[in-house]
Amino acid sequence: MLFDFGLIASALRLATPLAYVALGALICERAGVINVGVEGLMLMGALAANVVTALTSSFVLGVLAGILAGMIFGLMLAYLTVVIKADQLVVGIGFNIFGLGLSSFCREVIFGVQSGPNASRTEPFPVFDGSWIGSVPVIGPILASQTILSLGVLIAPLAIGFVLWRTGPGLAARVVSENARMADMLGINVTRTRILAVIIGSGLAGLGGADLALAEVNYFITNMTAGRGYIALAAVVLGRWNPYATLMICLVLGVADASQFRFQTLQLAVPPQLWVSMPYIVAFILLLGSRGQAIAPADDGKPYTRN
Amino acid sequence: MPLSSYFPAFTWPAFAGNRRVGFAVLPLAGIAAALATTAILVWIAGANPLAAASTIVDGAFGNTYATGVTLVKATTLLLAGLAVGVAYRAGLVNIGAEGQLQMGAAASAASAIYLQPIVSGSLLTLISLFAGFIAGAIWSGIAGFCRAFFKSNELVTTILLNYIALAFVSVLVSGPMAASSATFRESERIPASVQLPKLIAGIPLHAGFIIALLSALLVGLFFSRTTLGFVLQVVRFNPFAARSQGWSINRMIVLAMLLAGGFAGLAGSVEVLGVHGRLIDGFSPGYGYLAIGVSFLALHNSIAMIPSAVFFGAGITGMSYLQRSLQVPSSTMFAAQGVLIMFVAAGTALAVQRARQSAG
Repeated sequence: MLFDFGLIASALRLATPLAYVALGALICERAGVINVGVEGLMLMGALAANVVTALTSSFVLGVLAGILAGMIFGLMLAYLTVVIKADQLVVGIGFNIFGLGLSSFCREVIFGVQSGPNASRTEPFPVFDGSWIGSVPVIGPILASQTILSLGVLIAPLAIGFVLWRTGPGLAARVVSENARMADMLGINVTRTRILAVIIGSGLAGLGGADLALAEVNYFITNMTAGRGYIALAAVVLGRWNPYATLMICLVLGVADASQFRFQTLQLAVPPQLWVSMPYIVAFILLLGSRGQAIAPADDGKPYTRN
Repeated sequence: MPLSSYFPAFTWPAFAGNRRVGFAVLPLAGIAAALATTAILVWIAGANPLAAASTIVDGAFGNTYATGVTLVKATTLLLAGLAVGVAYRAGLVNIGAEGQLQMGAAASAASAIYLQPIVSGSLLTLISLFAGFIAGAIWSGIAGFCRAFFKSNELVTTILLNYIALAFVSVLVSGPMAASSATFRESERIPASVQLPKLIAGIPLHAGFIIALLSALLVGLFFSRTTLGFVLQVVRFNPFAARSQGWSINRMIVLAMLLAGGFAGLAGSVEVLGVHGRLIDGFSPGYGYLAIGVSFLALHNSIAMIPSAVFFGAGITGMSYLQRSLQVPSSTMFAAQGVLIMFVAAGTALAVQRARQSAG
């Protein structure tokens, strides 16, 4: 059986970290900052969540630690990109390499240089008791036995969409991303808006990392994000900077991710490494359809200097 | 209208030529920041930073053999660094050197192994190097083509291609190219007559070092002395000039990426033909990512990349010696490299702002 609702359920589970990170990147871009550093933020969030949960055996503290790690490093990124106005792509790439090194360093110092995944293993993340919803057709099999984080990611776009399109701060952020000079003339503090957006977005990236380390698997290993941060950036473009569409793109990528395990169990005469690369190939093919870049916020990625 | 009148005020080449903006200070500040990061992390790992410093220098340059190993690492890093630098000077961000290097290594090994019945000796070595260059160029050319004609961001496509290339090489050495008696995922051995000769007996330094130095020199001449090199650097920053001179921006994007990936492919070839003598799964400890630091530390100047690559090469050998002797994780190096890149980026921004202010 190649397709059933179980596939969608595992797609949601696998898409959850990616979706949190993509939504975090989307918030940054909706204030005019391209946060390339989400890959490194995700790694730091994953590490913090894993270490705190391993030490305290509390999932709440672990998730909070992941968010906090993302926000602290987000503040650093905001300082470099918004205040100093350094090149956002270069800072992001540098930060990703930094995050890769630092998270791996911390793992090796805490759990031992030669340690495998078992040294950092935590208990399985508790799943939401969905027995009452399990009998509902279609939704039931998908939503039952998901974690609270996977259910949260389905609601997050609603919250982000509400803030961006129905509240004052959301409107301010969108003006800043579309036309920073006009926002400045309207009395909106461009620098403060962007710093706040980067901190919130980075917190979500950290949350994505926490979900990856605590719920999708339950350990931390070097470079466990394996490019998900960059795929999240692509998902924002493919989702045309819309939180609902971005979530849908992440779910499509989740299906690609989930079906690799189905294909592996089919025992076809194809090496398993080929299936591992399938999510990347699917993301690449989807990117070929991203011609409509005119939809990007006009001042996205452009530092603002008053003169 | 002379070509130089198309220079916009603060594109890369104009900025690099402007000595007044404190341009030479940037790499030094970057190195200082990287060393400070290393010292802090070494201290956190429970070792004495000063003892670690002498251990690192000892591991990298302690004897002629260690120096040879450092230069071998620098060879690969220099070629991979050119892949980042060539693309960056054309206004493109290539973080796919790792994948291009993998594809180059695969093509190089495949041609060296399967063409043996037809050609042999140093002619096959040349063919194998050429195959590596072409494979790397094609792999980055895909990203360049998609950037030019599908507007797919090369930052994302190159990193996706990295993971696809890694999986591809892994498939090759565990199936079609696997050695018959292998316990690891690796290919058959390439005969010694086809491998790159060692420069000095008893030291691992191979002829790829000369290839890397020549490549850096050629890239430097290409950008400073040829019209095409000049056009490649300015075309992205001045669409008006491109249109009026009839240069195709799309063609230049593809050309820049092809050239860039070629050097990364060559880096893979040199690893296969000069270091391992076969294709091995996971042979690269992240050369393609370290290459980003090599290029940024040199501010994308190919000649300056030579000492930069030696610096990073010494980092690899010194840090792995430090890990073995003092149990300090060698991943420290990636953290330090990230700080270096962020410092160079921040310093560049501050220098440009200051130059703008003083220009009024």
